[in-house]
Amino acid sequence: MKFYFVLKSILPITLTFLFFEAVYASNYDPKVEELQRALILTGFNPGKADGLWGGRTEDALKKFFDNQGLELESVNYENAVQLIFTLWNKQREADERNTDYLQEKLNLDDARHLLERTGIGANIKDIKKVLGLTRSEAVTHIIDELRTENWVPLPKFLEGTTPPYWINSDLNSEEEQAFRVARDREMNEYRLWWIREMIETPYPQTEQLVLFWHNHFVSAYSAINEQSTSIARQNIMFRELGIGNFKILTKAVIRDPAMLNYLDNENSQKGKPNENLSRELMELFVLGEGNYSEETVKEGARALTGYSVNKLRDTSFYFSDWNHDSGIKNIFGKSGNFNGDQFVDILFEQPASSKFIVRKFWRHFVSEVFENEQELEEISRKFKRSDFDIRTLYRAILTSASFWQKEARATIVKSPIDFLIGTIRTTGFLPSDWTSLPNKLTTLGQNLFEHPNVAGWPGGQSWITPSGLLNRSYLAKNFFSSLGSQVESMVNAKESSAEMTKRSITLRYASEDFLGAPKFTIRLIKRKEIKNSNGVIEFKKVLVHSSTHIAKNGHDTAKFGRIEDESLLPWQSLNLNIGAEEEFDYVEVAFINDACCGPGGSQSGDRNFFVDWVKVDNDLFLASEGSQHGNHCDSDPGKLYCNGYVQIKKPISLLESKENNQVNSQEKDKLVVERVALSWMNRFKKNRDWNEIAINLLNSKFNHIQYDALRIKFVGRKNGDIFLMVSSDNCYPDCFGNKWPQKVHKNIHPPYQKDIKISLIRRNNRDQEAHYWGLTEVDRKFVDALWASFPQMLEELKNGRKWKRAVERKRTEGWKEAIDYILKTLPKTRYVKSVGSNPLVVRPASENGGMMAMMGVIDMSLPHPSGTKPLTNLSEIRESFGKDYFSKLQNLFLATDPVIIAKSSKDIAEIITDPVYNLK
Amino acid sequence: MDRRAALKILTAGLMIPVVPIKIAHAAKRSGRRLVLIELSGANDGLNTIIPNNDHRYRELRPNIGLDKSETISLSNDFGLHEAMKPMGRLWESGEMAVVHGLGYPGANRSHFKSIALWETGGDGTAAGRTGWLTEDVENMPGQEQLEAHGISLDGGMGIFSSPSGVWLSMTSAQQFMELTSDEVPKTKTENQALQMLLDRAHTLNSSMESISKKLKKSYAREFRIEGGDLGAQFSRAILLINAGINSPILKVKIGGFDTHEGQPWRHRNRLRKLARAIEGFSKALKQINQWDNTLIMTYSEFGRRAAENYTEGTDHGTAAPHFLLGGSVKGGFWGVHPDLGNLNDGDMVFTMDYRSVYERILGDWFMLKENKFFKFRNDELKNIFRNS
Repeated sequence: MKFYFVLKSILPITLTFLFFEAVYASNYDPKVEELQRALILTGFNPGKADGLWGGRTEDALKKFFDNQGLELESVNYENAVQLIFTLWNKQREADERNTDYLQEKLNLDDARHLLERTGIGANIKDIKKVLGLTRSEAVTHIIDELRTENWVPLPKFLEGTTPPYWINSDLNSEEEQAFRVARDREMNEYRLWWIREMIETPYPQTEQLVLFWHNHFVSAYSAINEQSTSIARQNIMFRELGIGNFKILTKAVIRDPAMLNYLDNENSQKGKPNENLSRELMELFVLGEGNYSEETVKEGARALTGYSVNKLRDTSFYFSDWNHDSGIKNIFGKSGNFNGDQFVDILFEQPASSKFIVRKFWRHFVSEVFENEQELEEISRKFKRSDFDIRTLYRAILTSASFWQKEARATIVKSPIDFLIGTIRTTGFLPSDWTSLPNKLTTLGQNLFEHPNVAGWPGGQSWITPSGLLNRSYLAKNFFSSLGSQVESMVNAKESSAEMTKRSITLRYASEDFLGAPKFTIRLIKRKEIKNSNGVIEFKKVLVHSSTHIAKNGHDTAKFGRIEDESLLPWQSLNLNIGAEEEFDYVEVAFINDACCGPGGSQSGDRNFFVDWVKVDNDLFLASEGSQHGNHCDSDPGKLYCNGYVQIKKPISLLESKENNQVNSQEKDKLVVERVALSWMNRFKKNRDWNEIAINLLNSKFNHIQYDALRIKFVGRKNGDIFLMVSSDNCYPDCFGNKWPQKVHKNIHPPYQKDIKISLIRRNNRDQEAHYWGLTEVDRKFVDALWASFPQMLEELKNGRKWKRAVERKRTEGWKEAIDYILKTLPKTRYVKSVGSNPLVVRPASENGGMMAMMGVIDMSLPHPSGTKPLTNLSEIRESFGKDYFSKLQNLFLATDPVIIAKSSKDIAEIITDPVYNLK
Repeated sequence: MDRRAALKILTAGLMIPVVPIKIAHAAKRSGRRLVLIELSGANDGLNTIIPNNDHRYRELRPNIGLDKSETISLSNDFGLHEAMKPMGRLWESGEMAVVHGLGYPGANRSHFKSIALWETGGDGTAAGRTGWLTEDVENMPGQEQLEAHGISLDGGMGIFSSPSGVWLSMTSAQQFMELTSDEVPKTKTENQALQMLLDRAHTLNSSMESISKKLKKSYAREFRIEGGDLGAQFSRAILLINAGINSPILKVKIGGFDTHEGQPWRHRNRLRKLARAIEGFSKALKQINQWDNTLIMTYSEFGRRAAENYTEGTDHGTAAPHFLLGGSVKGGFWGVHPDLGNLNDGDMVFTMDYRSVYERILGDWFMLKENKFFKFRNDELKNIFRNS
């Protein structure tokens, strides 16, 4: 039998982890380790779970397939692990055969209980799937359907490289504002994506577990400089690794860029370690309070120094040997020159490591009000024996006697997610203002990606604050309000055939309501000029004036307060087909019925209107690029806090974007970049051995060479040497296609940084000549262009904020002589001879790249709760349950007897208003 | 229930334009209270309390520094930004304390992270988990007679984050008018989670009941405190206090202190609003006889850098002074101003841990001697409150 092990070609996140072992032993793969661990758990010994693919692993896998009577030509990783765990589940079922309570068949209450605890709400379709199974089988069913992949396709902004956070500090305040708006837009989209995922997925147990990790390994978006992509990638990582091994997951967390930023480890260095990550790793992640000393916090922090992020290289994990403290540390009685992984390993040797997380699982899945120490002890033992396998822990929790006891029912307070999204999944009813779910969740105290602090949402009784209680009661009572009819019209809407003669206009807006919703109009304007004796008078002619529209599905500020966080705006879109194809110059959107304020000011009530963009046929008008008129509210364009209008003149064409990405033929041998920014420089001192100017180049292109990010350094040394330096840390994608000159300078410590130095003038320096001549001809020319661009780059730098800062800090001093020398010498060098002088072309980005991606994606379609077309009224919902369940509706919704409503009530709208509905 | 009507009275007052404050019915004296003012965005302390005689100040701030003539002299060495003139009277009457150089070890320059530290009493090595005063206030003697442990008038609840207690926000107070809570039967159940839920609902109901009853009894006073949104929050605070609503902690906020550019006019404008609102609030408190048992404290994320930047502003820094105000405050300067000749990478070095102030507030103001911040007890603040 020929056997191939084929790794999945798309493992977007995991493969970027750069595990340490990946450095020491380049074949290490965390996915292989997971496979090996799965084999060990099922009794097919692959040797040590070292993450290295080798003969023993292959043999063990073959044995597994033989054993299963399978013969496979090829298998991908996900399938293999899935198959092994199917067997594992069968083995566990066999173990459980003699446990009586696990052989009982699920009744309706049991089914609801299992689904509500492991998933989000309990949908009738899912209930039917487990009814009649034994408890043991039902748990297998839940575990078998845990997924490591998302169900709804991920937002498009996550494709490609991360936004240039590395150049952000050079932006002026307007650019910075635009940059932040773009990130908020992404965060908004990702948050809504996750909510859609939770509503639609057939595997809600996956999401419940991701939510658990999201609240265990906390990182908040606004605390990490709005790095939308980092927070999204962390969330994806929880999905990929959250059902694997807790130790692997923890090691992934200490190299997770969002976490490294959130807990301030990015700049933690030898001599000045930051203790946050070390402390939380012990207190909140692995051991729990009281199970470590302050001294260990300090030592652990030293082990974690240098665990950092390279923003330039796709904002990915980066181990800086330079900053790492490689000295001896004393941790829990062991001493050695431990790194972060070894620190984690030692933590997992502590008795508390198997107990702490088990208790947290218990509180999340079994009960918030009672604990059974004996069972906890037993589960911890199993968990430890499995070497921290999460499925083992999960199964042990779900098959514990306590989990199935009556006493455990209705002993967990539903989180806002359970409460709101659970109701959507359970009923199949989608409120028409579903895009404001992030706000509703925030109102109830669970703003996703914005935990109150590093300890996360405390859950339990802390969900039941005065405000939480009032809001839950209000939302439950109004859940099936008439707004459903709007969904009905959307559900049943036919694709309206666009009239060819009309323009197609889409407006993306959001609103805050107060004493009613905002009203607005859209206008297309033609600019006209007349000349008279006073010169040119400009006036505008309104070509198209839409009728007045009412903003739908806004956020009710009188009830819930203002939206403090703009990444939570509930965006809506409106499509219109109006106006002839007459030429127009620009677009205006006007807000016409402002109202203010609630008692105590605008915070408790204000009517506001927000415009994101207007798309007219193939032109996109971004509000943030527009200007605000007709009011005195001092606000950014697109945020209409008072009556007035936003005028957007400059459209982005959605058609021509591709051309932009190509270097046209006249630009042969030209270095085309989007932006040149100072990265860092020090004051030039002749007696200093190293003086440098580091320059960031955004999206540089040269013939067929292309870098998203590139940092180059011009260095002047004490001996008079002047050279250009390019380092492997500083290119993305890899410098020179990873084809380095043979004689490249290579650091002997991980991550084995390579760099080349290219002298301004040929000197008797064989190494540097070897660097230059060791490059391919194409790259040599590229290097020529970098050198030849020096004078232009210098001029460009001066426009940025970083340069001004350098001037302020006197860093630009002392350079004049060196720079004059370079400028004088350069024309005579091989570099200018090769590509001519002034080869640099700076072409600022047209925003359409990113916006194109956004446009393609913003998914305005209605999510389908648990995979079915949204229901729009109560009678449809009742029908969906089927006759058999009419009499048992309370069992489907309530975890114990109601306390307010009649026990005989079959009215769903009433059932969900009972206080008991807050419990699961 | 007449709660709706009662709250309308409460809320109506604020929409009516300036009318002289006249409060006939003095509320019955309640316990001590703390009013927290968050200066959101990080107030520039160096241009709030100006070291007038320090030549280094004007070297660090050649463009945005204040001339001595633009300050109100508080002492030989220090002046107050002239925009804060309305507060000058409180200085003269010895009811305004300035605590110099507050900060914490391991300064964090992120707005979000640093305000979370001030809210939870953490520092650069360990963040807090709950609001800095929640635990102590929830356990303070006589707390069972309170309608609420704290009320946030700006909606921000980070400082009140607690798994227990009755911590209300502006919006929840608003909801008292908009929403009704369910009448829950007073049943006893074996299920502790359900019991907790029902108990909470009861507490909430009695809180709402009591608050609305008191508001109904108290005659509505129509007045307005100047100072924009902050003034509006203070007006509402006065209504609550005057109605005799027992809540030891009130929290308000004024934003706009993140003055990276155009600081001279922006900061002036903020400080003027702040000072006017405080002046109005203090007058109102005096009229209803509550000035002596009210303590006002300002706080902010961090101070700003000592040197100005190139856009006529200042960037994120470290230490800053803060104000304590009230009829029982012993006015004057407390602590030591950071040495401008001893900057750490351009930042002032803090001279007092901000938690020493928290400790005095809990320990000496609320008489909770064994509070969470006991180890920060600092003799430099001894007797900062009269009769404590």
